[in-house]
Amino acid sequence: MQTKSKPKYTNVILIIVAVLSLGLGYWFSQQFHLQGRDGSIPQGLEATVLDQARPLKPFILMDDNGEAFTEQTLKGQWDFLFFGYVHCPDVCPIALKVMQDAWKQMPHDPADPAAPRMIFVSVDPDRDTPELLQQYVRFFDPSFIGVTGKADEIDKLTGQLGILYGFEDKDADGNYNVNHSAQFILIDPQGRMRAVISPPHDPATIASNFQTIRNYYGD
Amino acid sequence: MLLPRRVWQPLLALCLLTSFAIVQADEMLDIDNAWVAEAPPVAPVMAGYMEIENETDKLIRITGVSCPDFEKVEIHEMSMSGGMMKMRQIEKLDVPPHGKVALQPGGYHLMLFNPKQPLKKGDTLMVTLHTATGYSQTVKMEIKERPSGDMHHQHQ
Repeated sequence: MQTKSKPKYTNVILIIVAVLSLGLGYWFSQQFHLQGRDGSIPQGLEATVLDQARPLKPFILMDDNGEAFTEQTLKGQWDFLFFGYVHCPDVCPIALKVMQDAWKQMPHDPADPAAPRMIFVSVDPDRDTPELLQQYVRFFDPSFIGVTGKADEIDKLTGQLGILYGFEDKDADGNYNVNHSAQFILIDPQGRMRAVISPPHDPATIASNFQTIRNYYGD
Repeated sequence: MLLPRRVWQPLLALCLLTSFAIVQADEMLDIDNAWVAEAPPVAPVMAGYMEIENETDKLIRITGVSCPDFEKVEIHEMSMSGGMMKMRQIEKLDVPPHGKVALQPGGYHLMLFNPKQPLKKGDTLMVTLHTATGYSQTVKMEIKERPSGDMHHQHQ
């Protein structure tokens, strides 16, 4: 009798363990979901996603309508940032064209809360006035936003995003080049740095990676 | 008709040689895919791209570029250095004998400064390349919309 009842106990224990495991697993997955997915990253992307989104320290810039543009302005929707200057013949218009093409492949109805904003930050405020910036970025799309400001405020933003830039000497005509990073920075709706997208840029890849990141972390 | 053979034969030869020389001079450089990227009307600079092929046995050194529609034109090179995109002016661009140099997005490009009037897609520009030997060749460049994507995606 004893030898026959032993397996029965084992079965009962196994069932209890299995049920507990299922319950615990479900509980853990719920906790995980509730806390968001900070601490992990979606796979298979051509973007560098930060496993812990990085909140931005304060800065005060100006948008192309002359309104203040701060770390608070970046809250409420996803934002793509690119840093450059209007006197840039090659890299910046290429990047803005990529933004334009990627944006067309994303939700972009301004009424749609899923629509990200495309923001071009000029690191050359001496030449790029808000008026010039506005006319420049709106050529690519009327919804695109130009931002600039005082050099030390620009540095507060570029410094924490890992964006580098530097001015070359002026030529005889007073023209000068600005060397700068060519990454797109993706900011989440909580106004935190979430991803870095390095060149070469492919609009379709950027659009699909953005969708993956958004689905993974939520809005 | 009444000219003796010893007169018209050398004349004919001279004519043939001259026309041959002109044809030769015209075809020192074979330029393809010459275009200027459309830019916002307020843009103070535009970028031009082309493929330049040297059809001669000698190196051709391009030392200047001009276009009547712009204040000045320079050759620039874009490169990635220290995490930044750097642009620098190239004083001379060498096209090797029977070789090719491509000016393309993210690499060498013409930098056209301050258009004299706003230019738009479909407009054409006459751009002249000047070489170290005093030779010059003019190419027609059309203003076109930039293709999608950047850098290596564009020259596949």
